[in-house]
Parts: sequence; C-alpha cells; structure tokens
Amino acid sequence: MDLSDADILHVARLARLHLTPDELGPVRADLNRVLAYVSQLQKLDLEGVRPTMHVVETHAPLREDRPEPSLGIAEATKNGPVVENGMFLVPRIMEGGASGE
Amino acid sequence: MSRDYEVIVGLEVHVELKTATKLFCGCEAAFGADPNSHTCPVCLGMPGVLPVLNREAIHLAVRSALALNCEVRPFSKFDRKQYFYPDLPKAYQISQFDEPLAEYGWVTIRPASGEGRRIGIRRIHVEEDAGKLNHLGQRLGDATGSLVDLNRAGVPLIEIVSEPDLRSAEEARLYLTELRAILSYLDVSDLRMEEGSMRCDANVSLRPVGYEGALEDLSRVEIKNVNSIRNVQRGIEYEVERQAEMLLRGERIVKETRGFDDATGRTYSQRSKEEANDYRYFPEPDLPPLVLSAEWIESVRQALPALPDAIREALVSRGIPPKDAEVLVLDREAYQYWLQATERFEDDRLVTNWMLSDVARLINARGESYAKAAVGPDGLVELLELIGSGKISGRMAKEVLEAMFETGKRAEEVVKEKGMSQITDEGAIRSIVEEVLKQHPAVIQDYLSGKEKALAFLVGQVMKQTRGQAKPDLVNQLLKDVIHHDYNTAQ
Repeated sequence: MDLSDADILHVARLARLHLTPDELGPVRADLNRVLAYVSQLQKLDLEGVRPTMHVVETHAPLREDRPEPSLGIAEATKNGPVVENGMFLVPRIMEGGASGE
Repeated sequence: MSRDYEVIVGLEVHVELKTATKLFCGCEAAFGADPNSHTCPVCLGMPGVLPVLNREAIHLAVRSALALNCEVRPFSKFDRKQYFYPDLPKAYQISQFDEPLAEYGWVTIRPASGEGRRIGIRRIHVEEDAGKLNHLGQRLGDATGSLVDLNRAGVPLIEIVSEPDLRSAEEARLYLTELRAILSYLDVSDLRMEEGSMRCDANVSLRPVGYEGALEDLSRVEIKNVNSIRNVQRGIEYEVERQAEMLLRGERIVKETRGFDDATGRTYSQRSKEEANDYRYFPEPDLPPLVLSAEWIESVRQALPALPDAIREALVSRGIPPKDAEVLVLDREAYQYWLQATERFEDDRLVTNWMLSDVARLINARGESYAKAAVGPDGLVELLELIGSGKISGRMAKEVLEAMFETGKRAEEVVKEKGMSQITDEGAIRSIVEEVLKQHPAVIQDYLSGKEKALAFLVGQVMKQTRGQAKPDLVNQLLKDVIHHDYNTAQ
C-alpha cells in the first residue's frame, strides 16, 4: 500500500499539521516506509486469535463514586493564555471545523 | 424519482448519568457550579494523568441497558474518538466504538392507532461529556470568541442508539417519551433536556418506494442537539417536508448536519458531514477492558424497579381507565403522588380523578410539579376524607383545594376559617325546602306534570339559600318527599 499526496494532506489536515510543498515529499516517503515496516504483521496467520484490546492482561479497576477536591479555578486556569471570568478564552470557532460527539 | 417515499428515522440519545463524580476522576459532576471549579488534571487533559472508571457510572449504565432489554457484554472496551474542538481538552473523547457496553435492546411504543411496536436499540455505550462553550456574540457564526467551562468535561454519559425503525415524527415523539419514562423510574439521570442532561440527535432520511439498496446508503441528515421532545418532533416534521420537496424537484439530498431553530421551526445547514467525520478511533491504551461478571449483571437486573409497562398493567388492573393510567405512568412524580395517596385512601378512582383534574390544573397554573406541589398526597387525602364523611360537598372541596394551594393550610383549617360546613341536618334543610316550595308553586306543577328539569331548578334555589352548603343528594330527596307529601294530594 502506497500513500498518495492527497492521503498525506488529508491526514495532515486532521492532525492540524501545516505542510509546505517542500515537506510533502519527504513526509510521504517516511510514512510509506513506516507502513511498509508495520505491514510485516500482515504475514501472520491470525485465524481464531482474539484482537488484543490492551497490552497488559488485566481489566479496568473501578473507583468508588466519592468526590475528591478539585484544583480550584485559579489553579485550573493558570495555563490559559487568556482567561476571562474564570473561563478559557479561545478564538472564534470557524464553521466547518471538525467537531463531533 | 418516485413521489412516494417512507420516512426513516433513527435517534441517538445522550443521557448524563446521575453520579456524584465524573467518569474518570473525583471531580464533582453537579450542574450549575462556578465555571471551571470542578476540574482537575484528569478532566483538564493534562499530560501524564490516568483515567480511572467510576463504578457507579458503570452501574447506572448497566441498569439502563437491562431496563431497555439490552444484552450487556461481559467484556467491553474503551476507545479514543479524536477531533479538535475547544470543549474537548484532550483532543479526543474517551468513548466506546466497536465493543460497546450493551446491544440489541428495544423500547415498545404505542401509536394511537394500532398495536404496540418494538423499536430496536442498536447499542448503548458509555462515554465522557465535553465541556461547555459560551460564545461571545449572538450566535456561533458571528461570535468573536468563546469562553470554555470544563465543569461538564468528563461527566458520564450513555449514548442510546436506536435502529432506524421509526417511521414518523410522531413515532419519534412516542419513543422519546417512553424512553424518558423508563429512565426516570430507574433514577439514573436528571433527564432535563433544557439543561442538557438529556440530548437528542435525529437521523432523518426518505426511502423511495421500490428502493432496494441498504438504508446506510440513503443520504441522511442529522439534526443535532435539539432541546425538547416537542422540538425533535418539529425538526423531523420540517426535515421530512424539506427532503420530500427536494426529491420532487429531482434534487440530490446532501448528507449533512443541521441545527434546529426553535423560533422558525426550521432546520438549517451546519456543516457537510461527508468529509468532517474522520474520528480515527483506536483502543484507549490508558484503560484496560471492562469486565463484568454474569453474577453482578444479574444482581443489577434483580434490583430493577417496576417499569412503565408493569405499572400500566397494575394500574389498569386496579380499575384505572387506560387513558388515565397513561398520564400517571409517563410522569413518575405523578405516579408516586398517586401511590402515596392511594395507600391512605381506598378509592383509587376518586384519587385519580381529583389528581388529573383539579390537582393537575392547580399544579400547572402555579408552575409546580407533583413532587413539589403545595398540596401533597396527604393533603389531598385529608380533603377527600372530608368529602367522604359528608362534612363538605365535592363542589365545596374544589374551593377548599384552591385555598389549600394558595395558603398552604390543611383542608380542615380552610373549612373552619371559611365557615364552611355542609348542612347535613335534615331538619334544617327541610325548612328551607318548604320555604322554597312555597315561593314556586308553578314550578311544582311543572315537575308534577313530568318536567324533570323543574326539580333541578328547585335544587338550585335551595343550594342558593344555603350558600351551596346543603348536601345535594339530601336536598334532592327532601324536595321529592315534600312535593309528594304536601302538594300531590290530588292524586
């Protein structure tokens, strides 16, 4: 499998990476090499093997539903470049940006 | 394109679970706190932190799944759903993708015409909620910026995905109403659509008659985040009309996400769905699979409360007309009010009648609910007991109930203060009856010549004299007695 320039641009857009035309070729070559390396796994016969959900054979521990102290507004928002009324101010959101739920 | 088509609707309902803390951290999950006061490194998306599942969230999710007839998977896993948006600090939402908590359930709806119908539930999965954005400006389109409050980020949700089994906006309404009723008896969520603790997205498409392809291949429009059941219905109605007109004009329906405008009743385009959805799910490496034992799942099933279908049956078997039973079932608070009242008062029908007419009217007029009504079930029972003992008439009781709602006083107090008491003393009423008859000899003749209405007039006159306090059936009886005894000598 070989990735095209269009594939690379699509993935870059999803990851919010801005590639210059000069960067496109090298990134494509690198990614194709990575995929080729990983594709060795395709050779394995996995008939009847359950997909690995997690690298450690364990299951999720459950926590009791007891409140613990939060950070506090000042501490929680300390890293925000702009904070207004205890909230993070973000620039205008463009329509058509990725979103979901 | 054919003019004939079938409406295909599937609903995705998000329900916030009523836990004390968030899904993956110990921050409080309560609604309405100061912005960002319920946040910590986990729900702020700081690097290096680890999520730990909230046991109660899983319990409530399993409880919901079982009540909705789903199969709960003994083994399910969490995945990362990636997208960039300012309300999502990690830039991914922890959700469940291909191995959700539960599958293959159903809800029965009862259309006015015809039999009950099962609407399939494809899956129920557990996920975390996103934060809340407060846009600076009238609407998103012309906002200059947005303020991010992450109190809601990480609050546990279940998403209940129906099969595309609904065939009209009305069926969608019935499904949502029944779903909400079931969840309310489970007590798993506040279910306040206006506060966002229950949210609904509707997928709407039209299938031309004769179309033989897969439903998945029809262009479908998703109406996002509508804030009431009524508006879900309106949004679907509008969307069906819009798409039908497009098909008539031979236009292609674009697969897209649309919002709903409450003021105009219309849907409007938000973004094209064709390229936007590319969430690149992969297994959440920070959470091992969720393993639930068959015994534990069974213990949750055993602890399920009575659900709407069982309650309907019980009410009808106690002689409550199906229509009244339906009103009680769909409002859990009303049903609990009814249960408490009928525990103390033996006439189920009378309690029901008073609740659904006078109590309901006063509650609505005062903007109260059954749980917070100024007159609770005990108050109503005291009133009904006064009627039963003959102290006041049913007509007087209506006035007493209104005063009880207004003043918060008990029935007996109101009766005493207003100087009300039904005159049950036969001697007292008899003398008034005799007086009235003396004044209306012509009416007596009318009555004697067979005009039944004449008696009603005479009853009215006696009631007027007694300011409505005479016991009506006694008045009736005495009038007949006196007329036949004193005025009917000719026969």
